[in-house]
Order: sequence, then C-alpha cells, then structure tokens
Amino acid sequence: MQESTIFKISLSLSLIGILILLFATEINNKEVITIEKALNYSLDSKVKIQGEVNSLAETPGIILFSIKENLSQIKVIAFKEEEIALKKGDYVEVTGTIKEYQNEKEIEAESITLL
Amino acid sequence: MILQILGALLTGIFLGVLTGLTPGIHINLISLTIFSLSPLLLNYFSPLILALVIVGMAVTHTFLDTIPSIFLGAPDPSQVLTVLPGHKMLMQGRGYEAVMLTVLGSLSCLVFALSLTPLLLVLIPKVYIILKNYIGYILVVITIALICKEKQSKEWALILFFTSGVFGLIVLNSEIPNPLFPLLSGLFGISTLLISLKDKTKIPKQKISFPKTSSFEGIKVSLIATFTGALCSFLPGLGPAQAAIIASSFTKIKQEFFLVLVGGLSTVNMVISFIALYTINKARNGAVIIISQIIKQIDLKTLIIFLSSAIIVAATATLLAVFLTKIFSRLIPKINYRMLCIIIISLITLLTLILSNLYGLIVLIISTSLGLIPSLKSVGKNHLMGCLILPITLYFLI
Repeated sequence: MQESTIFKISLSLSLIGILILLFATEINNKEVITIEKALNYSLDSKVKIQGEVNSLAETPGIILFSIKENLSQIKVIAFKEEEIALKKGDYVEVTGTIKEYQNEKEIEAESITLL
Repeated sequence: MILQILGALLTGIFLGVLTGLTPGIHINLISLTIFSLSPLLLNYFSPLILALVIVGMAVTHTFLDTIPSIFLGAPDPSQVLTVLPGHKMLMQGRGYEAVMLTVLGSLSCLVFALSLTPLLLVLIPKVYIILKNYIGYILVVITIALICKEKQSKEWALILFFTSGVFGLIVLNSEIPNPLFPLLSGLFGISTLLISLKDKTKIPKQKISFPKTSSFEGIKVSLIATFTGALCSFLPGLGPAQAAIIASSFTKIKQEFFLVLVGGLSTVNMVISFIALYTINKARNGAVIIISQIIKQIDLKTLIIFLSSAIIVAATATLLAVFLTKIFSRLIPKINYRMLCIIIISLITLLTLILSNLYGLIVLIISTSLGLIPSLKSVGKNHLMGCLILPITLYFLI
C-alpha cells in the first residue's frame, strides 16, 4: 500500500461519512414512544407520542393541553400557526421537543395530528 | 445542525490528539470533565453535540494511542500489548511502519465493523443472552491456551500469570483511585523503559516507508480483529486488551500483523460499544457511560449520527496519524533516548502520585518489579495480563 492510497481512502471515507450524516440529520420519521418513556428523555430531545387529550386551555396564540396514556401524562404547549380544533377525549399524535417549565417536563409541539 | 455537528467533531478530534499522544491523560478523564461541566455547557449546546465531542475524541484516541506506546514505550491501558512488537520495530528503524500498521488495522476494522452494523443490530442482543452466563469458562480456556502456547518456560508463564493475577485482584479491590494506571504503567511501561536504559539502547534513524505487507493477510487479521473486538465489546469485563489475547491465542499471528490486530481491536471496541449501548442498553467503557448519561435514550437516528461521525473522525485521524508519526520519526533519533526514558519514568511516577496518591506509588513499584521478570527470564510479557484476566474470571465464576 502507498501513502497516497491511504490519503484517497481517507478522503472518500470522510465524504461518505458526511453524506450519511447529512441524510441522518434530515430524517425525522420518529417512532412513537410511550409518554412514560418520553418523560425520561433529556431536555431538547425530539419525541413523538400519542395519547388522549384530558385538559385544555386556549388563548389566541397558544394552546396548552395535557395528554394521557395509561397512568402517565405530559403537558403540551403549541404555538398556533393555523387553527386546530381540539377537544377533551380526542386521540392525538404529538411530535415535539422536550422542554422544562417550572420544574416540570413538557413538550413544545411542532405538529399535532388527530388520530 | 450539520455545521454544529462538524464543529463538535473537530473539538473531539483535537481532544483526542491530546489524550492519544499524552500517556496518562485518558479519555475517561476528559469525558468526566465534560460531564461535570455539562450543566453549564447544556445551556449553549444540545446533548447530542456534547456526546459527539466525546465520540470524536474516543475514536481519534483509538487511532493515535499507539504512537506513544510505540515511540515512548508508555502505553495506554488498551495498548499495553503493542509496546512489545512496536518497540522491537522502532529499534529496527521501523517505528513509522509500526504505527502505520496499527492505523491501517484501525481503519480497516472500522470499515468492516460499520458494514456489519445491520447484522450486529440483530445479533448482539441474541448472542449477549446466550454468552453472558459462560464468560467465566471462556476466560479459563483462554488462560490455559495462553500458558500452553509459551515456548520458553511454562512454569514461569504460570507463575507470572498467577502472581500478576493475585496482585491485580488486590489492587483492583483496593481503595486506590485509578488503580489501572499504576498497575499497567508498571507492568508494561516503566519495566520496558528500564530494560532499554540498562541495555543502553540507542534509537536508530527511522525510515519513513509504508508497510509492504500482503493485503490478503492484512484483511484476514482485520476480520479476526473485527469479530473478536465485536464479541468483547458487548460482553462485560472484556476490553481490547483481553480481545487481543483471545484473538492471538487461537490463531498464529506474525509480529507485523499483531500490530494490525491490536490497532483494529481498540477502534472496533469503541465503535461497537456505541452499538451495544443502543441494542442492549449497556455502557461498556468510560466514554460510553458518560455518553449514556448525557443522552438518556439513544434512538436509531442518534446511533446513525454517531456511526457516520465515527467514519469522518476515523478518516481525519488516519491523516493526522500519518502526519504526527512523521514528526515523531524525525524527532526521536535526535533526542537523547536515555534522557527521554528518565523523563517519561518521572512523568509516570508523578502522574501516579497525582492520580492514585502514595499507595499508587507502591503499586507502581511492585508492578514494575513484576514487569521486569519476563525480560529477565525471556518469557512472553502477555502473561502479565493475568492482572486483569484473573480478577474478571473470578468475578464471573464466583
């Protein structure tokens, strides 16, 4: 083997690595996890969860609700970009980021879909 | 996002050069520092970015840690077995070639391990369940093979294995902080340096020539390394050093390829421990423990980011190794080697005092004396690995 060979190999490997990295950071189809599991995730991690809406508060810009699955529940905050009609008892799927507010974990939602 | 990731990797590579080239500064130490600073750092960076700094450092480290062990005879715990063939080649003016062999091993094993990733994701959980109850017995078989393979004197091999084993047992169960550092530095580092001092060794001028080995043999050894390294990285208690003993006790490997093997093992071990963290949720080394503390749950996407980062880092580290080894090769013959040996011995002694206090110094003195015996009786130094194998074997059997 020659030194130039190893140079070429390294160069192509790092290109492959960067390509996979670019691809990996773009994929966002996360698996749905349980709320209990989501509560254990560290701050700023992205999660996708499902559950039943059980309390609801709305202001013109913000919608605040909590969703329940089995025995665990988590608060969700969403900034309304378009109107969504939610009511108690709806089943929803929420994708968002874990944040902390007043020592409690909550999800800042990016997308909410009715199931 | 991607720029942040590349920035994190660059920081990691820089730290990896630091830990790789400085004997005594281990990645665990830096990882721990990052972890203790994490409440502050997490205000500015996401957990993923912090974890990637550690990934970058850990992978770079496995490419460069052979440089001090070959050129200075001061090994990192995972590289204790490179000292012997590596030092021999250095004395023949082939230090550059020796490091390149370990780097080629690291790079090829990384590529093999990553191409096997989909398979490993399925296999690791299954094999783990089957094997975890038999590790103790596997280790006994390895020990017997290790001692039977000794040609010079089986009695001395046995004595060395058990003496170092009992000593290791005592040291690892003591209250001494960082017990591995004085233990392994004495057994494999200082004792080698003392022999060079006694023999009035002069390091010859180093040739900068790339290894001319058959690539077929190289690929074979890399595959063996990938396989053994994979096995050892998700089983508890087994690390790259043990993997090297396992691999070399079952196949006959020439000096040159032994370097390919040990180089590859440490890299495979690191990369597969990321996969093990994802599949069986077990952290098998210091750096990965810290990563699992920073990112509580690793998902598939995170794993893919880790592994693709490992490729980028590995490629960069290879080029860095070529560059740094050339500098080392030019400098080392010009340096007064006796002086260098004395400086390194003092440095290790000082670090022992800092890392493991006064008791560590006692450990260092005893382990150095033990480490001198193989050279004096001309038996293999690898029997001294008893200091790690015996405690682990007993842990699993009792």
